[in-house]
Amino acid sequence: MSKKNRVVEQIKNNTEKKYFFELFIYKNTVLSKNAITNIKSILNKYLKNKFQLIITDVDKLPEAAIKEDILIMPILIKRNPKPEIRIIGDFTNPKNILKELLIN
Amino acid sequence: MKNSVQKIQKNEMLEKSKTGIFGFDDITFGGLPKSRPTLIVGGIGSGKTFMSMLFILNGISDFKENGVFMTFEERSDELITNFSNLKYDINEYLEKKNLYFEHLHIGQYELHESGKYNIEGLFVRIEQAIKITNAKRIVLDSLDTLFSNLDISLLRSEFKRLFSWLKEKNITAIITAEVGDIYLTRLGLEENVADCVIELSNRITNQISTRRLRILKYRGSYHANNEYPFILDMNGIYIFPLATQSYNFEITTERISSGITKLDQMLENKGFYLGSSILISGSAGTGKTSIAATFSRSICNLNKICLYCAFEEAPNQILRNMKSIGIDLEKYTQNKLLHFYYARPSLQNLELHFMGIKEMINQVNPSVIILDPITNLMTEGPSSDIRSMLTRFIDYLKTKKITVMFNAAITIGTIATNPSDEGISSMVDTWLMLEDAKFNNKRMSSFYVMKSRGMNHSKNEMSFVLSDNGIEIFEKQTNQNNKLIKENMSPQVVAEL
Repeated sequence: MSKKNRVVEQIKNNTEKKYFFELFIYKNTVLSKNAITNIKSILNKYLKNKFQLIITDVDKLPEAAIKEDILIMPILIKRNPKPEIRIIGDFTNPKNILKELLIN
Repeated sequence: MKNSVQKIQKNEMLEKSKTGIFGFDDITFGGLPKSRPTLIVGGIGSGKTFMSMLFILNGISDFKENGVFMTFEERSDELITNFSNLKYDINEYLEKKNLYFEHLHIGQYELHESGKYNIEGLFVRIEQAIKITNAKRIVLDSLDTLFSNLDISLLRSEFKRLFSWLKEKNITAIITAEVGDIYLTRLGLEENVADCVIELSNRITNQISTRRLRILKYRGSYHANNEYPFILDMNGIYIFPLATQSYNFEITTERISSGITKLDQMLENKGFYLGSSILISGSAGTGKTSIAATFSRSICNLNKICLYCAFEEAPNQILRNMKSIGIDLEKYTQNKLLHFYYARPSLQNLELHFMGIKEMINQVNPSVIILDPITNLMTEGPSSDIRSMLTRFIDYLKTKKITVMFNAAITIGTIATNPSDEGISSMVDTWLMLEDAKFNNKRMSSFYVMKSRGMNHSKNEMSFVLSDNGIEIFEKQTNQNNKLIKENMSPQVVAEL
C-alpha cells in the first residue's frame, strides 16, 4: 500500500506543528464525512496554523486497524503533545472533548 | 406454486457445522448452524471460552475448516498455553495459518466519546483475519467485555449489524456473552440476532457444583431442550446426550438366569429378561451385594463379561467377603470375565463416574453391569438432576442391550417417609425387595419380587438366608406354634438358623 493511498488528506501548516492528530475513518460514508468536516472546523477554530492532521481510510489500509488497535470508528488520535488521547465519534458534540483535544 | 414451496423448503434446510465436542453434536442433531452466528451465554467460569476454542480447534484438526479466534479478555497467552496441553498443536496451526488468534485490546486506551460512531474497525480486523486464514469458523470472546463502557443504545444496532455482517460472510460464528449485567442479553439481542443460543451454567446444589448446558433456541432446527450436565476437564468437554437416544430400542424375549435357582423359579422359572434393569433394595446387611455377586458369577460362568461398579467397597473387599459365603469371583477377574470399576461414591464426581463407566463399557463390552450401590443418588430429592441422569444412563444401557443390576438401601419403610423413592420404580423392570425380619431371635430377611415387568412372577414372601454355600431362598413355612418347618430346608440353612 503506497503512502499516496494511505493519506487521504494532510493538512500541513508551515508554522510549528505543535499539535499532531491522526483521524481514522472507514470509507466515504456520511459518518466519515461528518467527522472530517467537524474535526477540521474545530481544529481550524482553536488551533489555526498550529496543527497537522492526517486522515486515513482504513478500508484502503486495513493493517492500520491492527497496528493502531482500532475497533471503533471514526477515531481521532492525538499524537502530540503527549499524552496520547483517543476520541471516538463524528464530533457533532465537541464541547465535552475540547479540553482533551486542546490540552498541552 | 408447488415448486416454489419446495424450493423454499430446500433452501431452509439447515446445514450444520460439527463441533466435535463429545455429546454436543448429538443434542443439536449435527452441530451449530453452518454459516450463521451462535450466541453462547454464561457466567464467569462457565466454560464459554473453552467450548468456543474447542469448536475452532476441532474444526482445524477434524473437519478441515480453518478458524479465527478473537478474544477481548485479558490473559490470552495463558489461553494458548492451556490449549497447548491438549491434543492440538496450536503453534503449528498458527504457523500454517490454519488458526488466527488475536487479542483485541480495548482497555489500554482511555476513550473519549463525541457524537456518533460505529464498530467498523472490528469488522475490518475480522475481515483481515478471515482473509489470512480463509476461515470457515470464528469466535468472538466476549463481546460485552469489549463494549462494556460504551453507549448501549448505539451498541444495540451495531451488534445487529455485526451479526448480519457475519451471516453475509458465510462463516460459522460463536459470540460469547456473560449473563447478568451484560449488554447482549440485557438488550434482548439473543431473541433477535442469533440463530442459536446456548446457555452454560454452573449451579451449586447441596454444595455440589454441576456444569450444565441448555439450548435456548435453535432457529430452523429441532433440538433437545433439556439441561445437560457436562464435564469440563483438562481433556475437553463431555456432554451427556443420553436422553436423546430414542426409546425404540430393540426388545428381546431372551432370558438370563439370576444365578439363584429359587429366584429363577419365582420369575417364571426363567430368570430376568436380557437387557432389563433390576433393582435390589433392602436395608443394610440384608444381602444385596451377595445377590449381585451371585448374578455376576453366573454370568461369568456363561463366559460372558460382567462389569462390577463398586461405589462402596473396594474390589478386594468384595472378593474377600463373597468368598466367605462361598462365592469365588477371583478366578473370573483373572480370566478377564469380571471387571471392576471402583470409585469412592463422592457425589461431585458422579458424572465423571458415568463417563468412566461408559469408557469401560466401550473397552470390555460387558453383557451385565452391576452398580453397587446407587443409594447415594436416591437420597436426593425427587427433582434431582442426578437421578434423571441415572435414568438416562439406564436408557443408554438398554440401547446397548446390557442388563443392569443395581442396589439401593430402600425399604417399604423409607418409601413411606420419602415417597420420592417410589419414583425409582418407573426406571426398573424387575424390583427385588429384601426386608429385615426377625424370627425366633434370629435375623432372617424376607424376600419377594416387588414387580417384574412382562412376566407372571411369584407373589410369595420368601425367606432369605446367607450361608457358607451362598444364597438360600426358601418358602417360609411355619407350624401352628409359629415355629419354622425345617424339613424342606437345606442343612446349611438349618445350621444358620
